[in-house]
Amino acid sequence: MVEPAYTVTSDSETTGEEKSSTFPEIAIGIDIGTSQCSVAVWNGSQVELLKNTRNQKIMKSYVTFKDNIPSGGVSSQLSHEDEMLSGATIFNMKRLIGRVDTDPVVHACKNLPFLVQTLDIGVRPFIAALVNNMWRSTTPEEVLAIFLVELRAMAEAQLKRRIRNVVLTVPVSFSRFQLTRIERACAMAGLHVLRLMPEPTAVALLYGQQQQQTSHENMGSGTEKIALIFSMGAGYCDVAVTATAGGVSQIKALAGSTIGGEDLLQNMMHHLLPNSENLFKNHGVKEIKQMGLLRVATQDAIRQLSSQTIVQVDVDLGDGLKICKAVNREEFEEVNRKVFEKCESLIIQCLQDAKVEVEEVNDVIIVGGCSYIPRVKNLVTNVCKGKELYKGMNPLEAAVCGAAVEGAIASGVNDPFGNLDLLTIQATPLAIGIRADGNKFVPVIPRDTTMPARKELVFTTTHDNQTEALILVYEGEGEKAEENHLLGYFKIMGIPAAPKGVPEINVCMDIDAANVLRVLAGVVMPGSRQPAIPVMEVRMPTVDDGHGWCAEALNRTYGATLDLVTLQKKA
Amino acid sequence: MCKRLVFHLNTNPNRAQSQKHSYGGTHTFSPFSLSLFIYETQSSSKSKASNNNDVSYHNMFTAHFPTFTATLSGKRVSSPPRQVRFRLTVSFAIATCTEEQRHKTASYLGPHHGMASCAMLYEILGIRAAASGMEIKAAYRWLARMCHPDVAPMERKESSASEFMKIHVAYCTLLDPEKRASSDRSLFRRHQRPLTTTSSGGSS
Repeated sequence: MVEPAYTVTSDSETTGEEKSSTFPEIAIGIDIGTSQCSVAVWNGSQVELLKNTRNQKIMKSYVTFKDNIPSGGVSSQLSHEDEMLSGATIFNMKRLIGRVDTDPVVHACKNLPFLVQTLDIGVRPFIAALVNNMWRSTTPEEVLAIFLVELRAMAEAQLKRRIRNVVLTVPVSFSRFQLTRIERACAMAGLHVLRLMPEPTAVALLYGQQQQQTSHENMGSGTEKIALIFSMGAGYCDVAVTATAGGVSQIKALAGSTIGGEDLLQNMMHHLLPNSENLFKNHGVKEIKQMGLLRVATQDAIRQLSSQTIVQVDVDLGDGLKICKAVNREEFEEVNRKVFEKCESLIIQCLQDAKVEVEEVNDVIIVGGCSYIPRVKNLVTNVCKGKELYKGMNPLEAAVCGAAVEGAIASGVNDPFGNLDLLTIQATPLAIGIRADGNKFVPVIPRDTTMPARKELVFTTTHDNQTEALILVYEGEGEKAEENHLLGYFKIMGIPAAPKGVPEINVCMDIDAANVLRVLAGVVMPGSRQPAIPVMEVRMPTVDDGHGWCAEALNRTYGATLDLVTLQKKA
Repeated sequence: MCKRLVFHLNTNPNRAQSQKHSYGGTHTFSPFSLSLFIYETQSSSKSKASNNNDVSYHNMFTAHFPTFTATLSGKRVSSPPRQVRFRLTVSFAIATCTEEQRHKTASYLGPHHGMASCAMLYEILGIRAAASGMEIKAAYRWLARMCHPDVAPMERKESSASEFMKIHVAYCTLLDPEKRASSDRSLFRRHQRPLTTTSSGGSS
């Protein structure tokens, strides 16, 4: 068997590391969506999308393990759509990466032709591809790395130079743990991540550049423009509200959720064949084929419903199982009502977080593959009081173009015409805090805090003579600690013995411009300005795998013995 | 705060007077504002690539401070004094940064303290006390393009993060009408009441 073209490298490589080089090596932008991907680069005067050997700018995100040699959707061409659903091909890797087996998103992937198994104990799921009648295991990181190797080879062939630095787009709802998995996959593919950009932030950067160019042409004064950016692809839905003027884009709020075209598809499949979960549970060769046929037929139906109001679904799954049904657009929208309602609530939440009224929005931008769905357009337009949609962007290319612009800026490229005189002031998508006040999640850095950021809170002991404290760092929006992602943990030891509530335990969180999070904790006794013990500084995340399992084990082992409470501020 | 006053008295008696005046009035210019203007003029002559932005900002400044411009052009004809002012600006920035570093260290080790006095919020952004929301935003963007870690020059990369955080806190405080009113009341009473960063940082 031929060895893969990637190597396992150290995890110690970090985002944003500056490397000295004689000439600037321009970073490329990569947008790996759940179902489609693209690569772009700043070519000296504008963004250029790269093409593969079949002249395609947009390629499918999958890796097939057929013929024992894994190959991705960049270079290989499946003979027909059915082959992607034969069990030998793994897709939806962006949806699976960095998730534990208790995640509903992972469970939804069990309906896919390749094998996904869960033990439901908070560890990573088991994933395998069917190769020569044998299930061969792999991981989402490995699949993504194989794919990235092909992307890099394509880019190097086209640009005729070595490619090492990249800017990747990521969903807003990605946790820091998931970001580390993306970075690891890039490292396995020999790529160094300069920046991981939330997808709507990349679109905001492109919008800022366009406004800058328009301002140049009109000799405008650079008035502030508020943009609402809605991005919905196959796997994720993201929203951002930005304020842009004079080349500076300020992210005022971000919101994201794991809903997308894949959910619409699964809901429709279930609607057409209500008992499909049980039918496909065994994952036999026959069931896999049936699954694939149903998936292709449903996909076709959804696509046609974007341009017509009714569509006929005719598919023979074998074994006397036939689907012959007319589906109209209202039916599709009703089956997916909860998905669309979630999208709408994300927009409303984002506007509220940004403290922006709908009337203040100047431009409404919709991007992503689902932006072609009439119901999606309607719901965005309705929330924005019928405002006309922005027409200056290609919905499938906006994010990767923004990533390419960021790649040029981060690489230190100077443009004589000022096209790269841009700055994006980013914000944290999720709150970061610790467990305190009896299993509550206490945010130290709230959501939508401008980066870089540094904030601290003061906590205190819960027991008399408590000399140790367990700091559990979480990321998310849930009120209880366990509802969020565990990033890491450490123990403060040597707290001076004192009645409960007396020691002051400072917890400081620092996020630098490269989005690296450090947690510092120190103990100060009242009246003293010197720390009682050496300050601890821990870079997060520290949990490498099985963070669901880890959180549960910590709770079971320590319970409330090392808990902290928020110190009430005295007026 | 006391040290800074001494700093001004030693280097420039005229600015000390201007400093005092800025506390009591609503239509005067803070020393930082003066320094910022000089700096901007210098930078525009050096980097022609970004001339358009500088011209745009320069026009805004000129439009809003006609008296100031007249004063400047009337009294500062020769170029050597301008250069002296430029160097003074750099010193001021370094002093501010040093103070910020010291303050951050202190605030971390001890009980939670406020970050900056209210008068400094206007100085940090280089705006007058009666600046409008649009002026606050414009000043914030201008400073972001100079101080944000993503665009700061390499030699200032390490300190740029804390500089930008300070600018951002000043921006959030002054842009929020309630926080600004509270800050102005403290300024009016001539009390140096500290402000916390916890509440203001989240909203932008």
